[in-house]
Amino acid sequence: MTLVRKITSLFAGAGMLVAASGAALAQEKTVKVGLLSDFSGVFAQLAKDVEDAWMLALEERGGMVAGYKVEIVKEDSENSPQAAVQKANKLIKSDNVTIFGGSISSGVGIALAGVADKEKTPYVAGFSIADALTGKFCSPYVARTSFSANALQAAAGAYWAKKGVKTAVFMGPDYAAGQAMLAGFKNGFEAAGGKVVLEELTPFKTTKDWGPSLLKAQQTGADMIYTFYAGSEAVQVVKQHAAFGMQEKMPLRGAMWIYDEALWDAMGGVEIGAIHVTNYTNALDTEASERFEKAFEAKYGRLPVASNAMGYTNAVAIFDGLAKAIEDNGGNLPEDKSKIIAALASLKLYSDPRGPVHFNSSNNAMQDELYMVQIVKGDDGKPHHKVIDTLPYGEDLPGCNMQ
Amino acid sequence: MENTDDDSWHPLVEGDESRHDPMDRAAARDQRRFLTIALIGLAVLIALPFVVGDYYVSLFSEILIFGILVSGVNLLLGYTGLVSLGHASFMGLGAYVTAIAASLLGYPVWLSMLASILISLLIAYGVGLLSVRTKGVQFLLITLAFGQMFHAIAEKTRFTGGDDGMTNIPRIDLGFIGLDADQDRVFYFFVLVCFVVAMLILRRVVESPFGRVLVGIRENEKRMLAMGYTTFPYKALAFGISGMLAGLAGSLWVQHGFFVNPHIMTWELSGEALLMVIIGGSQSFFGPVLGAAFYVLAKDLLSEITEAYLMFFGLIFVLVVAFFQGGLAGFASRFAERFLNRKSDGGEDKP
Amino acid sequence: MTFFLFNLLNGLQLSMLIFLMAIGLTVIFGLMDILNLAHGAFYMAGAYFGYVVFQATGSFWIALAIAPLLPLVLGFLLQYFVLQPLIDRGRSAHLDMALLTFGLLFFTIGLIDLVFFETLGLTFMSIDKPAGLGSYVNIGTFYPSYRLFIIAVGLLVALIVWLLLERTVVGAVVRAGVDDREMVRAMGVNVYVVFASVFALGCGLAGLAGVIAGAELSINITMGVQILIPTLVVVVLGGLGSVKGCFFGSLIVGMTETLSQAYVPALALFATYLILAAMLVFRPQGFFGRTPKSV
Repeated sequence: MTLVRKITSLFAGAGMLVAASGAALAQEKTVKVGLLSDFSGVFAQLAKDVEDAWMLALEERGGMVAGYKVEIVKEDSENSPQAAVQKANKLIKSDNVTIFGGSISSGVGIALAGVADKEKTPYVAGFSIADALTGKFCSPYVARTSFSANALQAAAGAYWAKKGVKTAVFMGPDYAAGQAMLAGFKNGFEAAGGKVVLEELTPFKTTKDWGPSLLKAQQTGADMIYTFYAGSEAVQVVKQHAAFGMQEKMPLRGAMWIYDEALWDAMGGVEIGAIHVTNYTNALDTEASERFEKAFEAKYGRLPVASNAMGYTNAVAIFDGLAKAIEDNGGNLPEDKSKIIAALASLKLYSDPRGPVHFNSSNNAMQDELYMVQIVKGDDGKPHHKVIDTLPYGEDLPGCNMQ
Repeated sequence: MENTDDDSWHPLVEGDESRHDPMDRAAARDQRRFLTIALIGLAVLIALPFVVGDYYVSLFSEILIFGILVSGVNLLLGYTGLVSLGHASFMGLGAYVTAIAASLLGYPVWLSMLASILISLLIAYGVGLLSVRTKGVQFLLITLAFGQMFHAIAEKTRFTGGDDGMTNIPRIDLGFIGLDADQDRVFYFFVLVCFVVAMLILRRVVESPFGRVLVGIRENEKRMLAMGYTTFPYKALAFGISGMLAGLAGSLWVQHGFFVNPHIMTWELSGEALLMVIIGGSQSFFGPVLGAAFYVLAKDLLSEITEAYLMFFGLIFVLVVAFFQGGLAGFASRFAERFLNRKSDGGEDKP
Repeated sequence: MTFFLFNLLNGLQLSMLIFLMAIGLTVIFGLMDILNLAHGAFYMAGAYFGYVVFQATGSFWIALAIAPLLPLVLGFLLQYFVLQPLIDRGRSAHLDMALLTFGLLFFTIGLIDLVFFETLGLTFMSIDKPAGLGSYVNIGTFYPSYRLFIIAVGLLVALIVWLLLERTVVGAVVRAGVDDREMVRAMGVNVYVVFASVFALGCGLAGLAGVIAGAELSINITMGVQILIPTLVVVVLGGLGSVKGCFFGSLIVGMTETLSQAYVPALALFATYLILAAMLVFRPQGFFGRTPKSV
C-alpha cells in the first residue's frame, strides 16, 4: 500500500494534485496527521513508545475527530535534523498533512519548529524538551506537550536542596540538551541554597569510559551526583558508578531518562534503590492514570512507561485540539492553521495520566506536580517504581516573543 | 618529506601536443558522448519539476546538492585515487559559513555563498597540503582526523548553537528577477544552475592538462615522479577544488533545509558520499551523480519498508566493489554500447 | 596522587580493550595489506552473539568462550572465499578491500538492527558480569574488579600473541609473510590457509573484545563504529602491521583519552585526533612502522 502511495505521489504533478484532492473531498472528510518521530537511531524505542500511545488515543476516538476521519502518516526523522526537515517537507507538501507531531530529539524539534513556522503548518513536539523550542523559537504554529528542560530540572534541583543536600556534582553529555539540563538543575538547586561543586560535561556520543569523571566526582566529596544521560550512555554511567562502589557514599540521581524502564534489563540490577524525578509513572494511583494503564495494558499486554504517557498527551492534545478547532469553525477545518494550535493551547486536560495538564502563553505544557520515584524490587522479583514524594512543577525560562 | 627534489610548480604537460594527435578521434568521440549525456540529462532535469509532486522537487534539489558533493569527492577518488573520509567537514564548513554570514552577520546570501566557496577552497587546500603527502590508508585516516576535529569545533562553538545548530537561515534572494526562492521549484532551478556551473568547472578541470596529471598519479605515481612531475602540489590543489565543491554543496544544503547543525560534519556522511560514488561508478564523470540519485531515491523508497535500509546499501556496495567496478554508470554504458552496436546511430540515455 | 594512579588504571583498562581490537587489525594489515574496516562488525558479532549465548546459558564464562567463535568462523569464510579470490582476480588489496569491508560494516549494522530491534524489539542489552567480578575491590579506594580483569585479559592476549609470533613455527611463517610473501610461497606453505587463519584469529579477538565490552559497556547498534575509530588510530600510530607498535599505540590512545578527560576536558574531543594528525604529517609510517611496500 505504502509503495503505491509513494509511486502515485512521485507522478502526481501539480495539476493532477488539485484534481485528486478535489475528488477526495467529495467522498469523505479526512484529516491527515503526521507522526514524525525518531524511529531509527538511539531514540528508536522512545519513538515506538510514542507511536503505541498515539494508536491507543486514536482507537479511543474511533479513528475520528469532530466528524473527520483521521489518517496517520508516519515518517522517520532518523534522529537527524536534516532528515527531519526533509520528511516534514514531504508530510506538508506531498501528503498534505494538517498537523504533525511526535518528535523526540531536541535538535529535531528545533529544526521542525523552523519548518512549521515557515510553512504555517502546526507542529506539536512530543518530547523535544530544549528550552528554546518554546522560548527563542516559539511560534503560533508550534506547541509542546512534554515540558521544558528548565521546568523539570529546576524543580528537581530545588527539591533536593530543600531535602538537605548541600553539594552536588553535575554530570552530563556536552551538548545542548546536557547544558540545558545542567542550567535548569543549577537554577533550582542553588536558588534553594545548594551548591554545584563540579560541572562534569563529557564528550557527547564519543565518551568510552566514565571512570575519569566518576573519580573526579569522588574527589569533591559532594553529597550526590545529579546526571542527565539517556540510552546506552545512561546504562554505562549507572553500571560504572555502581562498579566504583559509589552508590552508598554519593548516590547517582537524575530524571527519568537515566533510569528509564527500557534500560533496566541492561543495567542488571544495579538500578534497584535509585531515586529519580519523573512526570509520569505507572505506579501512580490517580483515577486518570489507572484508566490509562488499564486501556494500555488491554491493548498491548504490558504496562505503560513515561514515554507512553508523553506520547498519549501528545496525541490527545493533537486530536482534541483538532476537534475543538473544527467545532469552533462550524464543522470545518479552519483555513488559518494557527487556530488549531490556539485551540490546542486552550485545552485543559484534566484526565491526563500524568495529572492535570494545561498550556502556558508560549504553548508549552504545564502539569500540576511532578513525582519523585524510587526503583524497588517487587514481590515478583522484578524492579518497579514506587512514588515516594511529589514536588511542585517548575517554571519555563523567559525568551518567547510571539507576535 | 618524499620526493621534493623539485618544488617548483611544473609547467603543465609539455608532451600535450604530441599526445593530442593519436587521441584525437577518441577524444572527439568522448566529447560527443559527454555532450549527448549532458544535454539529455539537462533536459530531463529541467522538465522534472513540471511532472513530479512538490516533495519530489525538494528531493531532487537534494540529489543535485549531493551530486555536487560526490562529484568533488570523485575528483579525488576516481581521478586521483585518493579515498577521503573527511569531506563532510568541508560540506559542513560551507554550510556554516553561509549560515553565519547570512543569518548572524546579515550579509546577503549570494555574498555568503561566495564566502563559503572561497573559505572551503582555502581550508581544504591547507588540509590538502598536510594530507596528500600520505596515501592509501594513511590518507584515509588523516582526512578522517581533520574531519573529526572540524566536527568537534562545530560541537563546541556556542555562538552557532553547538549541537543544536542554527535555524531560519534565509535562501538566496532572487527578487531582482522577480522570483521567490522560498518556493521549492524556484529553489530547485537555482540549485540546478549551481549544479551545471559546478559540473562545467569540474569538466574543465579534468579535461585540462592538470586533470591528466591527476589521472597519471592514479595510474602510476612513480612514473609521474620519474617524468619530472612534483605530484604533491597537484594533489593538494585537487583536494582544494574537491573541498570547494563540497563547500558549495553545503552552502546550498543549508538554504535547502533552512537549517544546519554539526550532524552534517560526521564521518558517516563522508562514508555515505563514498557509497554514492562507488555505486554510481567512480570511473565515469556523471557516475557519482547517478549514484547520488540512486542513493537518495532508494533510501526514500526503502525507508517506507524498513528502517534498516543501511543493510541494503551495504550489500549493494559490497556487490558493486566486488563485481561491477564500473558501478551504475559502467552498467549503463555497457548497455548503451550494445544498443549502439545494433543500431548504427542513437543517443545515449542518461538513466 | 591516588587520583592520578587510578586514572592510570582507567587508562590502562581502556588501552587493553582497544588493544584487543587493534591487534587483529594490524596483523591482518601487515600480512595481507587489507585494511579490514569490517572489524567493528566482528566486534558487534561477538557482543550480540555473546548476549544470545548468555541469555541461553546464564553464564558469562560460557558466553566468553563460545561467542568469539562466530566472528572467528565468519572471518575465515570472508577472507578465504570472498576477499582472497577477489584479490586474485585483480582487485587491489589496499583500496578495494577497504571499501568492500566498509560496505560490509554498514550491512552488518543494518542486519543487526533488523534482527534485534525491528524483529525482536531489543534496544539496550548487556551481559551480566560473573560472580566475583561484578563488584569492587578496596585498593585505597573502591576500584571495579572487572576493570582489573580487562587489564589482565589484555596483557595476557598481548603475551600470547607475542609468543605465538616470535616463538612458534606458525609465527615464523607469518612474520616471513609480512616481510616477503613470495618467500613464504616458495617455502611450500599454503599461504591462503595461513592468511585466512590469521584473519580469522584477528576477527575472533575482536569478538572477544565485544563480549568483554558487552558486560562493561552496553550492547547497542553504534558500538561497532564507536570502537572502530580509536582502533584505526592505534593501528596508524603504532605503524601498520607492527605488533609492538600496536601495543604502545593502544597505550597512547587509551591514556590520552582518559587523562585528557580527567585533566583537560576541553581538549578531550580533540586530543586523540591531534596526535594522529601530527603523527601522519611528521611520521606517516607510525612509531614502529616500515614504509608501505606497495604504492
